[in-house]
Amino acid sequence: MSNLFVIVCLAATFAIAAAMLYRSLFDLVPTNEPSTDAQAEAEERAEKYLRRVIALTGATQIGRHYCVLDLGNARFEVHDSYVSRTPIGKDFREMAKAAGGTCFYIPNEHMPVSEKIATALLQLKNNPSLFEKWAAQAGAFKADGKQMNGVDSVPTQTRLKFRLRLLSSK
Amino acid sequence: MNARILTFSSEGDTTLIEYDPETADMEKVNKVIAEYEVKTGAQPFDLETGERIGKVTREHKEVLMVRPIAGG
Repeated sequence: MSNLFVIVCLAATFAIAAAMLYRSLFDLVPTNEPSTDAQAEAEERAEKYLRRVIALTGATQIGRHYCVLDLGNARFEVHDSYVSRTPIGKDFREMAKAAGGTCFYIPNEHMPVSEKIATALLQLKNNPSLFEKWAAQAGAFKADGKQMNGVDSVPTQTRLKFRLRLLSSK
Repeated sequence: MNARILTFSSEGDTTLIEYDPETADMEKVNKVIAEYEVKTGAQPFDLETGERIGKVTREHKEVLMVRPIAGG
């Protein structure tokens, strides 16, 4: 009986020590990330926004984070930071030649996935030629196709990762 | 019913300006939009049709400012 008591005490001590070690290791770096509840609420709000935009643009949602938008003779597949374009009504070889894709980002890195997709859908629906501008990686473009000054074509985080990769390869 | 110019945000929509479309000074409304566009690059879209608006008129009831997109 006393042995069992000792084992239980040891296990409890070990669990407390492990929890303290975990906190000291991972809680030292302050994060600005929202709490889980706030995050869930933000995502829910963004999804409602996406549903509204889907209804307005006539897009089709496939899965949670992927929409298809048919405009004229092109089909756009919009993911959270990637758009592909496939011509419709051509034979397979021509389709393969003309098909392409581009990454995109919105100069606001904390935006939920659904909000990014909704923004891209709205803009493509109104101005499909924006696709070429995004693919040219020439900076940020407003919905009317005019270039916005002061925004680089590649986000800071990506540039930082690229620099770190360069440093580590030296 | 009042008309609103909104900016969507996952943390909560922000109303840039709310006005009575019957009596409001539309030049002033468009000035607020133009200033916001200069600051953020966002442009107005009609939330009833999903179309981009050149100039907001008394017929627009809910307008959303949509952010610019960059290729990466």
